[in-house]
Amino acid sequence: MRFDYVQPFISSAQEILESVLSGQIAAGRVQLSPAPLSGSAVTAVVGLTGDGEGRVLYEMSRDTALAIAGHMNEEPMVELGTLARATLSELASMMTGRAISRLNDKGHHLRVSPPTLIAGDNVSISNVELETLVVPLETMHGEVIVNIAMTTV
Amino acid sequence: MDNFRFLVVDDSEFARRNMKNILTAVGGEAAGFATNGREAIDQYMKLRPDVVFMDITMPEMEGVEAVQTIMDRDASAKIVMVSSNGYQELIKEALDSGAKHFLTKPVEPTQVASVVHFVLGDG
Repeated sequence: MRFDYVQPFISSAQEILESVLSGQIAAGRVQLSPAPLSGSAVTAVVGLTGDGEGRVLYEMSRDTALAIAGHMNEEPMVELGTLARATLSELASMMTGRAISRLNDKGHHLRVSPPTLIAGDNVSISNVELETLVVPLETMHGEVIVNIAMTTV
Repeated sequence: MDNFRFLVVDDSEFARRNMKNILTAVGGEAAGFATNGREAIDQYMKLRPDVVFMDITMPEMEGVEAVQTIMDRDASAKIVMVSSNGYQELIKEALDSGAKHFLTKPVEPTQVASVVHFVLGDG
């Protein structure tokens, strides 16, 4: 996977989280993983099509998911209900949308699918054909792990 | 700018609620809400809001197609596109369809207030 494809996803996720949470977000070390694998309680999945195909996962604990959704709605959330799910899906859509906008403005042709939110412990999402880069982002509400699996066409 | 009536079109409950809060804070009144392009056309023709904030990627009918249909029926409609995707080709497509302005998410209250003034001819 080319790093120039991956970097916009990391910087965009960092910027959007900083904007909606009004705080600094620290990015950890980029690591190579053999395939997308989610062990976190809440995962937002966004599909990519066009001249790059794959998916981006945004993984976080249930507590982090509820805290972020509560922060964005300016009200505490104790359950992963309709509004919390809609909020986290919209967050995933904004993070991915900014990344593909940067790539498309450089001549790529990428499209994103509407996000799917998966909630549950030890959920496994695999796609063995794609190598994956994993980047942890540290927010004031806990870690959001960006998991990018993409192949260029 | 007070007492303008707005229609918010977005399939995300969070986005509808967030935009409603921002527009209400800048003096607007919610005329209605829609969750896809087809509903947006029906709601627009029924409610005739002063301004529409329309998402692009939605089920059933996307925002750009809905803008074209609304503009065909009412050339004076004032529609602002709002999207998580903000690349130049998409912005051009949205403006060519008849939208008056384009905002990328996440939207900032000051930015929304400026756009309302601009499209309603008050700024």
